[in-house]
Amino acid sequence: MWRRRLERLGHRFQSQCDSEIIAVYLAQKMADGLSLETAMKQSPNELDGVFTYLVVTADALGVAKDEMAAKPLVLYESDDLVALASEEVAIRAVIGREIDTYDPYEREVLVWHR
Amino acid sequence: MKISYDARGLAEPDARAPRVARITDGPGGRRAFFDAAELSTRHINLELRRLAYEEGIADVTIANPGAKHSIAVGILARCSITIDGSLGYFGCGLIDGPEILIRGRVGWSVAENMMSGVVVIDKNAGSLAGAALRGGDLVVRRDVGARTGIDQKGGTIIVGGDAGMMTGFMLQRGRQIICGNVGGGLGDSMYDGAIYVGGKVASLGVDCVEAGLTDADDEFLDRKLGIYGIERPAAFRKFVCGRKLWNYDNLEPAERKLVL
Repeated sequence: MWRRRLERLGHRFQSQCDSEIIAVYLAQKMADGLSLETAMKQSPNELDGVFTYLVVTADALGVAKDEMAAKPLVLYESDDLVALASEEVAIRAVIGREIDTYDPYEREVLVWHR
Repeated sequence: MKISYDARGLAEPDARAPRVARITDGPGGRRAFFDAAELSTRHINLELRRLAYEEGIADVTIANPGAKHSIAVGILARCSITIDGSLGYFGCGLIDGPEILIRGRVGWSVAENMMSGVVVIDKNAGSLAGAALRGGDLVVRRDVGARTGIDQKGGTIIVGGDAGMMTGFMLQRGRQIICGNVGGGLGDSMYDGAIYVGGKVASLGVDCVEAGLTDADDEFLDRKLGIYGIERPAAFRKFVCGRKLWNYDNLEPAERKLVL
């Protein structure tokens, strides 16, 4: 539904991958004047599917989880670093010591700015 | 064409225990220690099984687990295992007997299908903690993710902090003690067992109802929280199955025979 809706607005998709819809969906929302955070907060209500997605813009990093919390996400946050992955072992490839991580809950939307 | 890689994948079927553990004699018996930083998952588990089964050592410490997946799985001996760090997915699954202390965080599905024993996690746990738990105690001192104790069939899950959505989903038997808040859909489609919540409940799932706390419940909560040194919240609420989904008597005789 969102694919057709966005295509009617002039967007063209390069793949059949449903993840691409999320990127275009957010881009359209931001073109409409919403902030990245507001657009992301609307997404769990408007996007029908099972997802945890990351989004990166020129000056921000965001993550959103769907209402089922069915996709894993591990978050590590320190004063100068934010690391996100579906498993902690991926973060530990970058940080070689024991760290404090947690799993954000369903419908959580987090955005960090530079 | 000669295959130059192991076409059987990463299972390492021919791997042998690396025999790297340092074994010392102490007043309480022999103890073993090994560093897992440079070992594969298979090597860590082989070494652990060698120590527990062949050497008969009752106290093993593993350093630098590095959040690897499937560590300390399938240990069927009574022994004490300390994991000095965090684990990834499926840690301590399918165990029967050991007491395991994890001084870090764990990923999804910790202690799934545990038959007996104790697993204590000092930090957070991911979703599906204690999935299909059959017995023993699973203790998470901080927060857990979603669907804690999904399909739990026995034992006790104790959470010191908050729990996510669908906690106790399809709980069949056993008990859960959540000291903090729980997300939506608590006890959805639970069949039996009890869930005690010390904080706020976002919403109840299908066929989950509140019940009165009895003296036996109070004694149970005091005893379990006392064992693990977890502070008891001001008040607990108890949730059980509403039995509205108990439709088993509606089966035809032939179907009933199949079920039984």
